[in-house]
Amino acid sequence: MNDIKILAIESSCDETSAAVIRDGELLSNVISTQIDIHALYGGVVPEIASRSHLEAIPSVVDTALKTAGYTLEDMSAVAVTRGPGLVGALLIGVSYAKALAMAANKPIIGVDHMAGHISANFLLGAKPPFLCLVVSGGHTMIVRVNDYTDFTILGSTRDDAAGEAFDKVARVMGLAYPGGAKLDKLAAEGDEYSIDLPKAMIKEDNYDFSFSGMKSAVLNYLNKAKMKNEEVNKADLAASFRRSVVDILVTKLEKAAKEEGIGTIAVCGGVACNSLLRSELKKLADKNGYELYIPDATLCSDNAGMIASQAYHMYLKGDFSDLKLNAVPSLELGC
Amino acid sequence: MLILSIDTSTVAASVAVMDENKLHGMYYTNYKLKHSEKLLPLVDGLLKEINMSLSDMDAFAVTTGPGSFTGLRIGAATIKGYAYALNSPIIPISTLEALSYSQPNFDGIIVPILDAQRNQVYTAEFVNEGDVPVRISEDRAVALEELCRELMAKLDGNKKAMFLGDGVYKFREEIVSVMGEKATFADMVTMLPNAAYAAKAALASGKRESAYSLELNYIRKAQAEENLKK
Repeated sequence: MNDIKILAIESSCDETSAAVIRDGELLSNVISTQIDIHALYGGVVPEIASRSHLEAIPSVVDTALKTAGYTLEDMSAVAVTRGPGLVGALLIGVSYAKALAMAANKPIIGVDHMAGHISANFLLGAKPPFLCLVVSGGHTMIVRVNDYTDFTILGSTRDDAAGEAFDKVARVMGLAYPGGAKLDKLAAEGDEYSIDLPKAMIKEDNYDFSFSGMKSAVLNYLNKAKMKNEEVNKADLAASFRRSVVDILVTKLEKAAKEEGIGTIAVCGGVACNSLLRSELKKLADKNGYELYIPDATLCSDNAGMIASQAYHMYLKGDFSDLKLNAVPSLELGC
Repeated sequence: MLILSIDTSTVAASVAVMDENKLHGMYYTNYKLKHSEKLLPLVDGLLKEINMSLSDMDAFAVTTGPGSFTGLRIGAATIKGYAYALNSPIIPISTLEALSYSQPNFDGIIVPILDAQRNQVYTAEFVNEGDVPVRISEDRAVALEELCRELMAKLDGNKKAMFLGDGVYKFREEIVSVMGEKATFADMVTMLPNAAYAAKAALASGKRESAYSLELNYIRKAQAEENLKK
C-alpha cells in the first residue's frame, strides 16, 4: 500500500508529542517536554502532567501536521498511545485523538507504548526478526521481534526497571531530577572498577533481571561511608554502578542472541541514551558480527514518532480500534 | 446557532445538541463512570439518531469546572479535538452555572454544590432575574458549614436556598441540620449537571475560546503544588 499517512499522538508520561509518518518514513516528530515543571518536585507529578498535556496538545498536533506539510484531512488514520503509562496523562491523548478521528472521519489506532519504543528501530531500517533490549524507566526486557507487530518477551525485570534503578541511585547520591542522565555524565569522570557492586542474576540461566538489590548495595555503601565519616567519591560510585548495570544488560542480550540464533540486535527506551550502554552494544556487535540498531536520543525518549512507526504497521495489518478506545495504564506488551 | 455540548464533570456523562428554538437531542448516562470509553460513542449515537454531523455545528460547548479533574479533562480534550478538526469556536461553561439553569422558576438563592473533598464544596450562588439565573458570587471552594452560615445571613424573609449537585448526596443531612427549612433540594432529574443546561447557558454566553485557548477552572491547584508552597 502506498501513500499511507498517519498522525500519531503520545501523552503517556511527561512529554506531549505528535508525529506524522508517510509510508513508514517519519516526516515530523514534535515533542513538548514538561521536565522543567516536574524537576521542582523531584519527579513526575501525575496531576500536573495531565493538566499540562491538555494545554499543550492542540499546538503540538498542529505543529506536527504543518511541519509535515499536511492537514488532518490528508491523514489515512489517527493513532494514539493507549498504555502503559499514567492514566490521567494517557486519557488526554486518547480523548483528543478519538475526537480528531471522529470529526475527520478517520480510523483510530490504539498503540502500545512499549511496541512503540521497539518500533523506533523500524525507522532506522531494522527488519524482523531481531532481538530488542527494551530499557526504560518502567521496563527492562529482552524481546524477540518476530514481526513488525508480533513480539515475544524472552525475559524481564523481577523488580525495578533499569531506568528506575539509575534514577533512584542518582537521587540517593544527591543528583537532581532527572537523575539517570546526570549519573551517566558523572560516571564519565570516575573509575568504574573502583567499587565492587553485585551484578545480580548475571550468571543465571534465564533472560530476567533484578536491580533492586543493586540499588540497596549502593545505599549500604553510602551508609557505611557515612558512619565511618569517610568521603565518598561520587564519580567512582556512579561509574561502578553504571558498569555493573550495563554489564548485566549486555551479557543477557548476548546470551539471548546466541541461544536464539539471531544476528540482529537493537535497543530502545530512555536508558538506551546511556553512553556506556551504547558503546558496549557496539563492542558486542563488532565482536560477534551482529547487525546493530541504536535509535538517537530523541527516538529513545518518549516521542510520537515511534508510536507512528508502530501505527503504520498496524494500519497495514488492518488493526484498528473504535470510538470506545480507552487508556490502559498497566498494558502489557502483546496483550 | 447550533451547539453540541458535553458534560463529564461528575459521575454522569451527557451530550446534547441545541439551538435557540429546540433541544434536538440529549443522551445522558449515570452508570459506573468510564467516561473515556462512553463519551465518543454517546456523541456518535446521538448525532446518528438526529441525522446530524459534527460539521453541522456552529459551536461546541463544554463544562469547564469545577468538578472531577479527570472527568473535566476528558470532556475538554474531546471538545478541543472537535474544535481543532473543524476550526470551530468553543463556549466554556462553568459547571455551577450549568446547574443553575435547571431551576428557572425558583425564587430564592440557587446554590449548586459539588463535592470538593476535605469537607469542602465547590460552589457559587445564583438568583433568577426574568428567566435567566444571574451569578451573585464567584466559583470557589468553601467549607460546607461556612457556606450554610453565610446563606442563613443572606436569606431574607421566607426566601430559601435551593441546593443541587453531587455535594447534596454527601452533605444533605448536614445542610438540613444547620439551615432547617431554609434549605430545599433539587429533584433527582436536575440534581447533577447535564449537557442540555450547559447548552442553554452557552446560547446565552458571549464567551468564545478555541482549541488552543480553552482552559479549565479547577479552582484548586494540584496537591503537589500546594505542598510546595507550604
